[in-house]
Amino acid sequence: MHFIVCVKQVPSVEKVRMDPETGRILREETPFMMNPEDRNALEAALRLKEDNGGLITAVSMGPPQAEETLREAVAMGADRAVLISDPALAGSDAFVTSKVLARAALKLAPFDLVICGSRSADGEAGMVGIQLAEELNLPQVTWALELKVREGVITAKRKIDGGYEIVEALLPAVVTVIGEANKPRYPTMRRIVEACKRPVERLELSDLGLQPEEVGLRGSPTRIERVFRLERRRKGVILRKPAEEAAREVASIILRELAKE
Amino acid sequence: MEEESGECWIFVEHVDGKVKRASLELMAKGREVADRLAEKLSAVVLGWKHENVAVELTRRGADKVYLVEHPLLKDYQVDLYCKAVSDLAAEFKPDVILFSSTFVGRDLAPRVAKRLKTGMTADCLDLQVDEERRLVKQVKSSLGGNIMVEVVTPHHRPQIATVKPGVANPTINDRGGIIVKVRPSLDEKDVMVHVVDRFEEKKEVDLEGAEVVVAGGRGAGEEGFKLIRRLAELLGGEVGGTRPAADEGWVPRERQIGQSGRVVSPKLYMAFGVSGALQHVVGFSKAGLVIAVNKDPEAPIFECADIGVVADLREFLPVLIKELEKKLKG
Repeated sequence: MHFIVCVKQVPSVEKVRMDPETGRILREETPFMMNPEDRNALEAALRLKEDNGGLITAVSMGPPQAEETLREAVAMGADRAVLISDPALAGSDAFVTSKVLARAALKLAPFDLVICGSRSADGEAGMVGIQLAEELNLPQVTWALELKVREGVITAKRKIDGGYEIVEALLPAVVTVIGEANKPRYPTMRRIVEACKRPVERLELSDLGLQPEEVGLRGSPTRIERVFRLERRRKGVILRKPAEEAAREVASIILRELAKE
Repeated sequence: MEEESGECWIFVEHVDGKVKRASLELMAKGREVADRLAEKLSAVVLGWKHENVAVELTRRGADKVYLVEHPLLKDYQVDLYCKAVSDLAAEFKPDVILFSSTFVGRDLAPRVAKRLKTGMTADCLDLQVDEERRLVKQVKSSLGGNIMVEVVTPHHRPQIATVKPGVANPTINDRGGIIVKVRPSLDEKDVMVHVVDRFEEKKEVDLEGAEVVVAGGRGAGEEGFKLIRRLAELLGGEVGGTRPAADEGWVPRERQIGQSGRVVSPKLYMAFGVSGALQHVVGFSKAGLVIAVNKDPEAPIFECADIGVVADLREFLPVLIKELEKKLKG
């Protein structure tokens, strides 16, 4: 079986440093990492490979530095790593990203399953996996917790409002995996060393049959027009009193507030 | 730009003949958007034998309700729902389509947007309107709440967004809207993903409608959450938590508040052991009174609270609970 896992390099949202004026990420001062749910996606693929055999290709669209994330994927167990990198891709929204990844998947075909993290930690949209499925005209299985593949059929337990459901689809299919699905493994020392030696294959726009105007900012239907910080407006009163005294005061405040209409 | 019919559509979710609260909120928000764009507000409701839902929607600000009926639409199924909504949109060419950020909306909207070859913004916290350019400004948080972004879809139609529950309060507004019956062309063969079994584990928690929400963060700990639950129960409120608290399993994931969780607007919001990451703060920015308790006087949460208490919640909460018990019972 051939599993394609889409991975994205994202800034650590806890340690991200930004230009306060433009909202641009200061790349030199910000640590980057593999998107957390993409690790879960890769782990899911590794387990499916253990059960069914096959080959895992990790694919990433991003700047040249995203190669680090692909090496990490190889260190975790991916067999092959492909980086789609082209200056024209900068500023692509989910619509374009899914188109590019779909072209890459077709280039790497045949495949049985494309697995993505359900959402990226930076964009937080959760759209690329779904739009990739539509672009490829394949079934979409979102928010998967458990996956099984048998005789050309994928069975998944997936999360829904207030519960979960079991779904089935014919392969090939596109699956998005959530963080609760599994605990991603740590790479072994041996694999890390191996991953450093393994070449990362490159795909450029022309390899995918795409024109520069179809991608990047120009090709994206959506546009970010403004970036701003949420105002922390409620600069209120601070009670600096012993805990017990403060608790009594707060109790009165709560009761007064709830009595209001 | 393609021709527009001047309609703003709301994709409506319903269960057991009732419109979901998230959809009622979105009808209220959609009414605002439609008015500012000088457009009609249309509700799109899929299902089977659910005309009463359409009638209800005429009382919720709709000028028009597309009642899309088909036996195959009885329950949500992504391929059928996507086809029904996309075909309808291709025929009537709405200017805007809004979905709720529920599991259904988030599963469906990106696929519809892609099929209609247009842009989409996910999990909006607010929608504003640029009347001059006739654009919906879609406001969402990004980078774990570190920044907010305003997104527009300048040249593609429809403009599509999913909007987080909690965006507005449901309103009653009967405009004598008309009901348009639609019979979509659907076939079993359109189904690619088959639902084999469905488990609704728990009743949905109505955090968006709660008057009181008591939340805990990383600083609360398992013990702190026991006290938080007692306080919430005492005040007839709901328990919430930050993402780290949900990661630790101290509070169920569906009670996570913030950009990646739910957005609440209670009369009273209390935060215990919450540091105040923006990711979380966006989840209660519309609350009435906000009270925060944290050991760390430098915690950013104090900048988002009306009343801040610098205290150890393990000392503070037992006294608060005792005091409230005394007063509520006495």
